Amino acid sequence: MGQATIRDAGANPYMPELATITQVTRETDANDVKTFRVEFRDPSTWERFRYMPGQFAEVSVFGVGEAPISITSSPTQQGYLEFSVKKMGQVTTALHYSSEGTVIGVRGPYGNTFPVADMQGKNIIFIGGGIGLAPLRSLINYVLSDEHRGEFGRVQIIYGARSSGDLVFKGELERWGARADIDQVVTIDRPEAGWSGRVGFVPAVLKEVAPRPEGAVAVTCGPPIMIKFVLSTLTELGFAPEQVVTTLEMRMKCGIGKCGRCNIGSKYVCRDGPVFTYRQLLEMPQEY
Amino acid sequence: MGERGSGKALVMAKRDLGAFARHLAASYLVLAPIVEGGVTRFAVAGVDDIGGFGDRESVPAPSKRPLKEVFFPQEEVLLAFDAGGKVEVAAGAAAPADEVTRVAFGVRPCDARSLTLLDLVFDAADYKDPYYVGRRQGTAVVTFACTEPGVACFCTSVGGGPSDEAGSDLMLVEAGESYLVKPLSARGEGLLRGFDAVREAGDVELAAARDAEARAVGRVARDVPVDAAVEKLAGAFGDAVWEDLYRKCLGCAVCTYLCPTCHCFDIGDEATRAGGERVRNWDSCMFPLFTLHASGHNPRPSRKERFRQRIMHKFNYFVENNGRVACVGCGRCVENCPVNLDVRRVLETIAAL
Amino acid sequence: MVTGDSRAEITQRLRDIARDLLERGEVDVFIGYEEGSLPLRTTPAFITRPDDVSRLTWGALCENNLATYLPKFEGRVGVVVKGCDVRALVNLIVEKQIARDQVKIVGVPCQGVIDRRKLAGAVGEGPPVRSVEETDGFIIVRGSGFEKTIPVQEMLSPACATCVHPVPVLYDLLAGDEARSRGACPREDAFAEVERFAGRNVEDRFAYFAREIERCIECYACRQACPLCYCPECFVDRQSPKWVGRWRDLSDKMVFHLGRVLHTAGRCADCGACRRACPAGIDLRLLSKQMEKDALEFFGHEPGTDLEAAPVLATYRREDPDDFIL
Ligand SMILES: Cc1cc2nc3c(=O)[nH]c(=O)nc-3n(C[C@H](O)[C@H](O)[C@H](O)COP(=O)(O)OP(=O)(O)OC[C@H]3O[C@@H](n4cnc5c(N)ncnc54)[C@H](O)[C@@H]3O)c2cc1C
Ligand code: SF4
Ligand code: SF4
Ligand code: SF4
Ligand code: SF4
Ligand code: FES
Repeated sequence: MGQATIRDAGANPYMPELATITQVTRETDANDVKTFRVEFRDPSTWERFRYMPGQFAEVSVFGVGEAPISITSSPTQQGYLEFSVKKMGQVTTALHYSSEGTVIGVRGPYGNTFPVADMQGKNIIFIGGGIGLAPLRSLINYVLSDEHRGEFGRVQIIYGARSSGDLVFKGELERWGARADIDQVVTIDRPEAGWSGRVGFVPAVLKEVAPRPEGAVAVTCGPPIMIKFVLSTLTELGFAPEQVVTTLEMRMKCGIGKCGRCNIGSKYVCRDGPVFTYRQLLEMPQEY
Repeated sequence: MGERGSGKALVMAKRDLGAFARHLAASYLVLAPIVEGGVTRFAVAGVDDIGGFGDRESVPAPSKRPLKEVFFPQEEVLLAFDAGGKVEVAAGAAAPADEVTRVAFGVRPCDARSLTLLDLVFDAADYKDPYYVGRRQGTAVVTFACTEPGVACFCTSVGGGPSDEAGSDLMLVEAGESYLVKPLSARGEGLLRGFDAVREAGDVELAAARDAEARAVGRVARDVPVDAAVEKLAGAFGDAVWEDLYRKCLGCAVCTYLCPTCHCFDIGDEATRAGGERVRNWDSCMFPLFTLHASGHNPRPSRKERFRQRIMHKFNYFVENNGRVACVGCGRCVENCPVNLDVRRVLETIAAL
Repeated sequence: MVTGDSRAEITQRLRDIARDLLERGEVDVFIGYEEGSLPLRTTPAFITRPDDVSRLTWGALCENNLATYLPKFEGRVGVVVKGCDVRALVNLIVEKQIARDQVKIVGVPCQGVIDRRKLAGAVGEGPPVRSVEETDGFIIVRGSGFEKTIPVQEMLSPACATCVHPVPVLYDLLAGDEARSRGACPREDAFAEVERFAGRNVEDRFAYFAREIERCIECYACRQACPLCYCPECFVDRQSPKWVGRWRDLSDKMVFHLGRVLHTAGRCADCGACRRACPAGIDLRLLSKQMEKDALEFFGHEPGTDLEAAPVLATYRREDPDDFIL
């Protein structure tokens, strides 16, 4: 996997950078996912905060706590960070109640990155479900950026959610779908009035679309059950385990390999992950 | 930590131990095993507490609560913030220490050794935990070799021993009516500066100390096949043996909280009138909440997975990541487990797989 | 006073019963005690094969309350219980944590359980106890250079002294002779200690609990060892509303301790599991005992003695006094 750059080891790794929320976007009809654009209060923070797709940050609402959230913006989009957050518990709910102007804490970037160097020259198939598109979005926008588009082959996006109202990044999905260099399929679990797109679960749609494994890398993220079936479908389609990349979730606190709660076997998801190849997963205990 | 001392062994008379403690207390904050309500723990010791050591037959037995809390307390404030969004490192914490200001006195070799394991986590190459590292740099460790190992001790099975020097700055070994005094680092030597009741050790004392060390090694009751267990654990994750091993475990945190090498923690915020504080607490892999996702999914849903995690972490994962087992054989978990689930028996069972 | 070789007899009875139950397929697992790994310990044993019944043992060091393994138990189980232990089990049956027909209750007429803390005090500081021999009525402890013979009766748990039902109030099989159990404490005397304590002034009483509870390290061994603390989510683990703060100062610890005592009020029968599990040696008994007394005085309820009695705090009667607890 791509290696993360490590911040100055002398600094206090628990000290968050202060960032101001500058834009809040409601993503889903149920209003359970919102995307927050934030800017560092001190622009010099960017000198320390260099990230790549796949990494995450510990985002804090002061007085409530911290939660690990994928950086969903791409490093090619400069001057801000974006986090898409599903309302789940304490911190994520407090974030949902925060509006533009609120100061939050951000520390990171943490974890490894998508193996961007290994993907060069290859076709990339993105397979996402629900809010699982958030970490993929960073890489998608990186690959599609003017600076980097030439480094990669064709891009295929297969994305699904329970219903049309649960699809995230709808504006972007439209823009990506309109591009000639992308094959995109968007699907929902059940038929719905007014929906003209695909209907069916992501793994089933993946099987129909049947991307070719030659010279390709598949990158997937979504609910655990979806990931499970996607992995087996990709294997059926002839993808070798090292051609498949996913990103894992474990409960986290420190983000820096100390608090001990994110292990899967000897791996710390916060430090050795969250990005793993299917090959690596096969070698790890099934405890995630 | 720090440079090695000259290694030249010295001696002091046993009756001067109180004087030595007073000498230390004059220049340093001395933390020593103090009994509170029947529980021994490292706490700030008054001159009287320390002075008393000289009058006793021998220094206190290993503390029930581990040395780790001197460096990694059960709860500590990491950051403080105000409503306006100002964030500060909590007063007094995380200061890099240029000089030694504290002495941990009356430490046992297993506890001193545990520091060298905690260092691998908190003083790692990538991220340093400034709270721990600051305290570690500012604290010298004065260790007493064990003469009467406890019934649960198995230090010799995990690379340590009753006079193991790892992690200590100064080591005292009983040698008849004297203590052999071994400075093990420049910091240890610094503690002796200005204390003139020590002289160079003679052959008689050196021999007496060697005898005492050998006797103590012989008294460590159990030889646990740790290496064999470590080897077997590599393939034991899916083994049915866990089904038997975990059954009587209650899922409490006695074994992990009292373990000198367990280092898992939780971080969370507390709101105050002025703003709030970010607090760190010990946490335990034996609790279900430790790994519970906000979605309700729990990767380690039952006591079986959690018990396995504790054993695997100490004797397999930690070894894979750091080349050492995360156990110093202090026996605290053995002695204090409410159901006598003995880690030594667990290792023996696994070694025999 | 116990005479004859009753320890060995009871051990043999337990082994026979366990073998029988396992061989006839009446239970899938039999939970009893076996020799522990330390001189003063026995340890819970989960026996599934008839050939393993020889591991079972009995004696004054069989301290754990094995009923703690029974809530939500899957399958059929045999379990060894003392007089106090079974009262927790009765609660578990009443509270539908385990079905009556799932469990074969194997009672032991109890002669009392040794309090290891008391024994440590009697042995004194110095070199550790390296071996123990239990004869009927006496315990002989040995270490490098010493040997002491101590009467078991003097070393018993404080709860044993006030035990009203040393013979289990409910059992399917009894491993021993009722007549050989220790004498029951007259009910009027059972609360002498709490009455004495209640006679002290408020500041004194608060100071006592503060001093005890201050030492708590929140390891929750007391909760985990208690057969009645089976809630899937304990109130102290709740994040919203949050009952216990992160500073873990005395008031947070008090919230836990008072909450625990209230949640077990009218259910706790003083088995002592919590107190024994506590590594900090905290007096977890006094408040619980007070609750037991209140349940008896205000509601005529004696915890864990009646399969038909509904839990006091889950029932309401018009004549209930309203000055209880709050
Ligand atoms: C690497 C990584 C990337 C993630 N990216 C996103 C994202 O882009 N968008 C998003 O909505 N969610 C993401 N999550 C999940 C998100 O972290 C949890 O939903 C969130 O921590 C819940 O916190 P809470 O305080 O609201 O919930 P509570 O239930 O109140 O949780 C308390 C604490 O437990 C920890 N925790 C609980 N659940 C999880 C979990 N599933 N994963 C990690 N820690 C947890 C957190 O420290 C949290 O503060 C990610 C998780 C990981 C590990
Ligand atoms: S102390 Fe014993 S009962 Fe408690 S978690 Fe550890 S092994 Fe289990
Ligand atoms: S695992 Fe047990 S014996 Fe080993 S260091 Fe921890 S408490 Fe001591
Ligand atoms: S509270 Fe203590 S004494 Fe009462 S039933 Fe529970 S473990 Fe037994
Ligand atoms: S067992 Fe003792 S130290 Fe642990 S939580 Fe209970 S009272 Fe506190
Ligand atoms: S989140 Fe703390 S070790 Fe990974």
